[in-house]
Amino acid sequence: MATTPPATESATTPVGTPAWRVLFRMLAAFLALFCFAFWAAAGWNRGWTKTQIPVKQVDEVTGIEFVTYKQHFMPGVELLSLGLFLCVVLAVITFIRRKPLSLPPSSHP
Amino acid sequence: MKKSLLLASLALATSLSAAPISFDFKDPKGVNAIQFQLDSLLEPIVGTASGVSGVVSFDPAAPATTTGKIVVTADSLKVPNATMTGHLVSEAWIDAAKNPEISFELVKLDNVKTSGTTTTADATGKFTLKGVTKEVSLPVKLTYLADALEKRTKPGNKGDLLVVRGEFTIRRGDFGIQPGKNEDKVSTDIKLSIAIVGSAPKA
Repeated sequence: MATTPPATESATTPVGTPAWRVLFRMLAAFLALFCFAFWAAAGWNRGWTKTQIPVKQVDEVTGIEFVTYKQHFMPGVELLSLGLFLCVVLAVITFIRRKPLSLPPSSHP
Repeated sequence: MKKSLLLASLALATSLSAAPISFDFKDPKGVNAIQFQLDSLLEPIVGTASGVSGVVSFDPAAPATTTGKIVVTADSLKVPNATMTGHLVSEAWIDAAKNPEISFELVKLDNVKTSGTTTTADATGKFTLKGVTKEVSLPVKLTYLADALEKRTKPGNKGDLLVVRGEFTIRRGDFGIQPGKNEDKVSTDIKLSIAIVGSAPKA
């Protein structure tokens, strides 16, 4: 009677795709999407991350344009890149496989 | 007749002996700031230095005789990113702890032209940053607003205003700020824009 090998990793007999790999790939894809959506929703800031937003105002009497700062977090391109890079790392991990073990030389002729 | 002559001569004497007006640039409304801008990899880094103070002596009848000094506290420098602000005032950049003041002392005004309330000129002065003093020249625009203090502050607060505008560029390396370092990431040139107002209350 033929038996189906279990869906676990084997160094010598790779079979199917283990569940954890699929899960990690899905997680990476979801996180990448989340990072992009968060960055886009927070202002699509193609510059550096801002923790304060400058607000321009004009002094009516002198006409001087001056800046005040409003506390607001706006992720920049560097944070988006970091997030996407970590997602790629997570996805790449799922493709790493152990090298097949070399079988010991047979003692039988 | 005698009385009106006396009044006329008194007015003439007053106008002849008109002293320069001393304007204080510590603005109670917090408008005064120096804006700085330098190019970087992603976008220009734009920030402000708001701790402005100083005194300028300005004579509306003789703008060329203007003298004064504007001081900015180094730790008032701010950019929209808190971490970047920390780097900016740190020892590696302007070292605000050891060099708490950035200043400009006016030496002379050249090519002075006055039209109405506005005077334009080429200002030359001693600019000090991170303990290094260098002579810089910049075009400036001075706007004298007589009796305008009341409009900015409160009724009954009589006095004049002097608005100073100008722009100049320095090289950070000349002032010991990361000379020769990170030039591919952060520009060596820093553009400084001044738009400040001083007030001279009348007693």
